[in-house]
Amino acid sequence: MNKPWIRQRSEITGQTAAPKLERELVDFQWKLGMAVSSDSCRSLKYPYVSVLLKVADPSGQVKNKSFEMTIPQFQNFYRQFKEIAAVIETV
Amino acid sequence: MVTAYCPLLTLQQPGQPPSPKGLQPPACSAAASEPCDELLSVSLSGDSGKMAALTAEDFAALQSLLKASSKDVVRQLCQESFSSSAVDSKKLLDITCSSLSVTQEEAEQLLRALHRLTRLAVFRDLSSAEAILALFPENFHQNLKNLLTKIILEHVSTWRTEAQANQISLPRLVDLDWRVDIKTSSDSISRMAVPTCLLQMKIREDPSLCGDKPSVSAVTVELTLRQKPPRLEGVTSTVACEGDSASAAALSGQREIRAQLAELI
Repeated sequence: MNKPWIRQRSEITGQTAAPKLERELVDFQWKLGMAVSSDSCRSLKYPYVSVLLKVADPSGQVKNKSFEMTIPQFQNFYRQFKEIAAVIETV
Repeated sequence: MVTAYCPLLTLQQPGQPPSPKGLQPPACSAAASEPCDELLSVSLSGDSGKMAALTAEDFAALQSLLKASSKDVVRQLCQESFSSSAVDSKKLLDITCSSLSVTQEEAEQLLRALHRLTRLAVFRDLSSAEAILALFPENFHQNLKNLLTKIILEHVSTWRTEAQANQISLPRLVDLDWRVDIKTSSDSISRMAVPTCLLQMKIREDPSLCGDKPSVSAVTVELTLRQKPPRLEGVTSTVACEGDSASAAALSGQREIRAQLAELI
């Protein structure tokens, strides 16, 4: 997978280079699930979103991180990303 | 019909939900050639009493509640004994001993019985008085039965929510912080204007699995302009389609989300 380096041509030196990224989000996978039963509740309708993040550190090593959110938490998560997108586009 | 009595095993009533943790072939069945018709459950300490039916000993232990000085004491004990940590809590044991003037052993049996009773009501989602009353045997003290039924009815939804919040899951996202920066220069580029986003997610593992280590960890990632924030439209439209099954809260937000999505993409 190609690293999404940002190539910038410096106006003064004419060199191309890429700013180093800190830990970079390489992949984002998600799943919407519904818990139907558990050892504490025989009958459930519990929706949740699980997410898998793949993060590459500067050396290139990729680590996985998984976590879960309730639907309200996911909606907040989504709202935050929408704000980030809005800010990045206008900056 | 199992005739051998094994002190480690308690017989469940036929027709009760089997306890997957507890199903084991009887170790000391006298008539080994006979198939075991009845479901057996192993009494374990701690939380595994959630699904097991209450035994005669449990109902006998509940009678200790008759020594309570007020209905509030009973209510308090029901609430305290629901939580997973209740059965092992020394503090709760001491409080029970003193408030009911019972021995340690009686208090322990009472708390275990109350824990099982409350958990069973939550497991089966018993939301009517009739259903809860049906848990008790015929000869159980009428007033106590009515009081316990009333208390359980009051708390069953709260307890269900608590149980769902604490059920097994992947680590949970507890916080999301972000910051948008503009990189203006670096050792390799003298002038630039590269927006970048730093995202920090705080994730909580199951504390009981972490031991002494802190259960919350932070994951910090950087997103750049070339990587748009994750495409979430797939998730939100799926949530909208699962109309019948998704929670009411999710549904009410869907129209708003779809409108916002149209702008985003």
